[in-house]
Amino acid sequence: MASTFGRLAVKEIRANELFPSLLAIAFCGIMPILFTMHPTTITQAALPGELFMPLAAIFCFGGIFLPEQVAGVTDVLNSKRTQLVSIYMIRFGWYTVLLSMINLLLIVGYQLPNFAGVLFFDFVTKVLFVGSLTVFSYAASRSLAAAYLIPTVYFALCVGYPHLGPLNLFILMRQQSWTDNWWQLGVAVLLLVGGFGLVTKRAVRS
Amino acid sequence: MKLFWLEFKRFTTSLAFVLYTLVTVGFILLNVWPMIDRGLATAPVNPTARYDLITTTDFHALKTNALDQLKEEHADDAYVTYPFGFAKNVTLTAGAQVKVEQALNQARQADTRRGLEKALGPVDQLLGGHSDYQAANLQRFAVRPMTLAEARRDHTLIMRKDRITGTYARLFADIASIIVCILPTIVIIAYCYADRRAQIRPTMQAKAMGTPKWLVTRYAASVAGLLIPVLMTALLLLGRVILLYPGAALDYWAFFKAAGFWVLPTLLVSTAVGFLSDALFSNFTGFALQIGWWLITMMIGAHQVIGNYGWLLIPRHNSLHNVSFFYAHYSELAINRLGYTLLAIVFLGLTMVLMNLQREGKYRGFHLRPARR
Amino acid sequence: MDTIQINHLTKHYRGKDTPALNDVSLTISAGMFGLLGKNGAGKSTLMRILTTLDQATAGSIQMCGIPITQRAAIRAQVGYLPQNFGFYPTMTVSDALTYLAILAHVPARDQQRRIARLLAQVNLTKQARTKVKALSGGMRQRLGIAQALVNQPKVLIVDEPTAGLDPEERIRFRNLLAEFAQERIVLLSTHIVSDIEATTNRIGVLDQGHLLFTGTTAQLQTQAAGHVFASSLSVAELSAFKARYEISEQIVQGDTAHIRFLATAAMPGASTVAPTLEEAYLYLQSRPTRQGVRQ
Ligand SMILES: Nc1ncnc2c1ncn2[C@@H]1O[C@H](COP(=O)(O)OP(=O)(O)OP(=O)(O)O)[C@@H](O)[C@H]1O
Ligand SMILES: [Mg+2]
Repeated sequence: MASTFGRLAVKEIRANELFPSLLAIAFCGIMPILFTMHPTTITQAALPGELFMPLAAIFCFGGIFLPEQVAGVTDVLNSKRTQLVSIYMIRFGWYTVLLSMINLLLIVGYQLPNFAGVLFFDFVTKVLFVGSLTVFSYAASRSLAAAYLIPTVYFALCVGYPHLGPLNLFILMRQQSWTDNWWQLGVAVLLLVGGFGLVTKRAVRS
Repeated sequence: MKLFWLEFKRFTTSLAFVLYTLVTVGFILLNVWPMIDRGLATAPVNPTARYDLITTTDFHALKTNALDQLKEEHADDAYVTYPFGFAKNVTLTAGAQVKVEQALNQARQADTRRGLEKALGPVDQLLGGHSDYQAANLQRFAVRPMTLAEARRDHTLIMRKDRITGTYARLFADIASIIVCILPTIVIIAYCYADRRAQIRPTMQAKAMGTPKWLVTRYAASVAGLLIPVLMTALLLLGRVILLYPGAALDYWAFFKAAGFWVLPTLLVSTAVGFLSDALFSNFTGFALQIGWWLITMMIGAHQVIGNYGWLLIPRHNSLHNVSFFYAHYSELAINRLGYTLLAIVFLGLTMVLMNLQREGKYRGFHLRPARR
Repeated sequence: MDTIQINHLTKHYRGKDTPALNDVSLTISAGMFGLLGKNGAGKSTLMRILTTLDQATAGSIQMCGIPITQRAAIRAQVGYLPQNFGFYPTMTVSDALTYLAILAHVPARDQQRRIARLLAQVNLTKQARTKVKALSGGMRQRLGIAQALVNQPKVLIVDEPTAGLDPEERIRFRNLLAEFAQERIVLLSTHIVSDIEATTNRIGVLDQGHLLFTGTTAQLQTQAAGHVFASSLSVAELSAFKARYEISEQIVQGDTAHIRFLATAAMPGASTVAPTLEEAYLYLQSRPTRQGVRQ
C-alpha cells in the first residue's frame, strides 16, 4: 500500500508538477534582485517570505487543479473522487515541501541565527495559509478562477486594508507579534480540512 | 453587434465574473466608504492643528529633508535603494564614501532644484541607482504637513474645482485601480480557458470571420463587463456623497470621469495581458507575470501614496488632500494614462498576431507541461 | 471546376519520425467522397490542412480554383465539423448556432431562417432552447453538423460525423448529406465502412500517411475478388484458424462455425465468395503483409 502510494506520487509529480515547479523556482529566482539578501533587521528579513512567497504560493497551489480541467473529464473525475483527493494531497504536499525548501534556503543565506526559527515558522505558515485558502476557494466554487482570485484579493487586502488583525499576512513586516502565526496556522488547518472535505463530498459540475 | 451581446452575456454569466464583481465592489467600498465620512465642507481655521500631508513645491523643505537623510546614511554607511520598489541595503567602500562626502558638500551649496539634482546624481550612481537621490525620486523628500494657508487653498480647490465629488473620486480611482490592475487578468484567462475546456477552437478557427474583428469584439465585451463593478461602486459612492452634502454644488460626473480616465486604462492593460497570456501560454502562467508586475508597481507606488503618477500602472493619490499637486501634474497623469492605453493596444495587436499563427497551425502555445507520453 | 486538387502533400509533425501524411496526391470532385483509414492514419490531419487550420510541410492544394494559402477565401467556402466537436456548455443550442453563424459571416437577415431550417434538418428543433451541456452525445454531434452547414459551404468537410449517432439519425444524416452533396463537395472520414457504402461510391483509403487506394467502391471490391472465402469448421478448430487468417465474419451454430475469411489463394474446402465492401477494405489493409496471412 505504502509503496503503491509512493509510486503514484513519483509518477504524478513527474508528469504534472515538474514544469510548474521549475517555473516557480525561476520565479523565486528573481528574489535576490528585488530584496536584500543580507538583512540586518527581522523586518527586512521578512520581506521576501511575507510579500513574495505568498504570490509564488498562489501560483503553485492554484495549479493543483489545473491538470484536470480538460473537457469531458468530469465523469472520470467523479468516478474516481477519492483517488483524486489523494492526488490533490500529493500535489499540495509537494508544493508545500518545495516552497518550504526555498524558504529554508533563503533563511540559511541570511545567516541570522537568532531569527532563523521565527522566520521559518512565519514563512511556512504563509505558504500553508495561502495554500489552504486556494484549496478551499476551489473546493467551494469548483472554479479555477476562484482558486486564483480569492487568495489574490486577500493578498491585496493585506497590502492596503488595516483591519485584518492577526490574519494579516505581513506579520513581521508590520512588527506584529510572531505568535499571530498560530492564528493563521489554525485557520489554515480549518480551511484545508474543509477544502479537502468538500472535494471528497461534492461531485464536479460539468 | 449581435456577437458583442452574445459574448457579453456569456462573459457576465460566468462564475468567475460574478466572483470578480462581488470582490471588486467589496474591496473598493471597504477602502473608500470610511473615508467618505470625513467631512470636507468646513474650511480649516485652526493655526496649530496638524493638517494632512502634501507634496510641496518648496525647495528648502526638499533640500533639508534630502540632505538630512543623506548625512545620516553616510555616517552609518547604511544606504537604502529601491530597485523594483523593494528596499535593499547598500554599503559603500571607503573610496566611495569619500566621494559621497564630496557630493554632500557640493549639494549643500545648491540653491536650485537643478543644482541639487546635479550634485546628488553621482551619489545615486555610486549606490547603483534606484535611490531616493535619483533626480526623479527627489520629490519624495518634498512631503510635509500643510500649513494653515495651504490647507485653506486646498479647501478652496476642493470646493471650487473638485466640487467635492472630484476629491472623493481621486481616492476612488486610486483604490479601484489597485484591484482592477490584477483581477481582470485572472477572469480573462479563465474566460479564454473555457474555449479549450469546451474544445471549441477548431470550430471557430475554421469560420470566415477575421481574427481582428473577433478579438476586438471579445475584448470590448469583456472590458464592458469588467467595468460594471467599477461603475456600480461609482454610483453608490456618488449617492453617498449626495446624501452627505445636501445642497452643495457637486460635480455629478466626477466619479464616472475618474472611472473612464483613470481606472479604465489600467483595466485595459490587465485585460489585454489576460488575452495575450492565453495566446502565449494557453494556461494560467500569465497570471504569475501580471501579479509580479502588480506587486512591483505597488511597491514603487508605496513610496509616495498621496500623489505619485510618473509611469505607474497604478497612479497613486491615496489622499483627500494634496489637491494642488493633482492639478499641477494633471498633464503627467494624462500622458501616463494615454501611454498605458496605447500599451494595451500593442498587447492586443501581439495577441492578434499570435492567434493568427495559432489559427494557421504555426504556433501551438508555449507549453509548460511536457507532452504526455 | 469545383474540385479539390491535392498535389504531393506531406505533413511532418515536429518531434515525430514518420510523417502523418506522405506524398498524398488526390483529386476530389463534386459529390461525396469518403476517407477511410485506421486510427492514426492521417485523416484528421488531412482535413485540418484542408480547412487551413494546419500547415502542410510540402505540397500544394487548390480548392475550387483557390490555392489553400488564400486562407480567408478558403474559410469563406468551407464548412468544417472537427472530430471532437464541443461548444460552450451554458449556451443554448440556438444561441450557439447564431454565434457560429455570425462567425461564418452569414448575413444578419438570413440567420434566423437558416438556423430554423438547419435545426429542423438535424432534428433538433425541440432542443433549440436547451443548453448545450444538457444535450446527449448524439444530439451534440447533430449540432456540430448543423453548424458546419450554416454558411452553405461549397466544400463540406466532416470528420467522423456519424460517431455516436443512433441508426435512425445515421440514416437521416446520410440522406441530408446526399441531398446536400448534389451540387457541392462533401468530404467525410469514417471508420464505419457501411456509412460509406450507403452514401458514396468514391473513396480514398489512407494508411500511415500513404494513400493506399482511390477510386470507386466497385473498384475496391474488384481488387479483392477471389480473395474472400466462406467455409464451415468446428468451433474447436476456430482459434487455430484465426491465428492464420483474417476472419471477416463468423456465425456459430452449435458446434459448427460458419466463417468468411481472407486469403491470397483458394484452398480446399472453402468456396470463393463475392467480397463485401468491408472485406475489400480489410483486404486492402492487410495487403502490405503480402500473404493475406497474419503473423
Ligand atoms: N498535434 C500533433 N502533434 C504530433 N503528432 C500528431 C498531432 N496530431 C496528430 N498527430 C499524429 O499524426 C498521425 C495522424 O493523426 P490523425 O489524427 O490525422 O489520424 P486519424 O486518421 O484522424 O485517426 P483517428 O481515426 O484516430 O481519428 C498520428 O500518428 C498522430 O499521432
Ligand atoms: Mg481523426
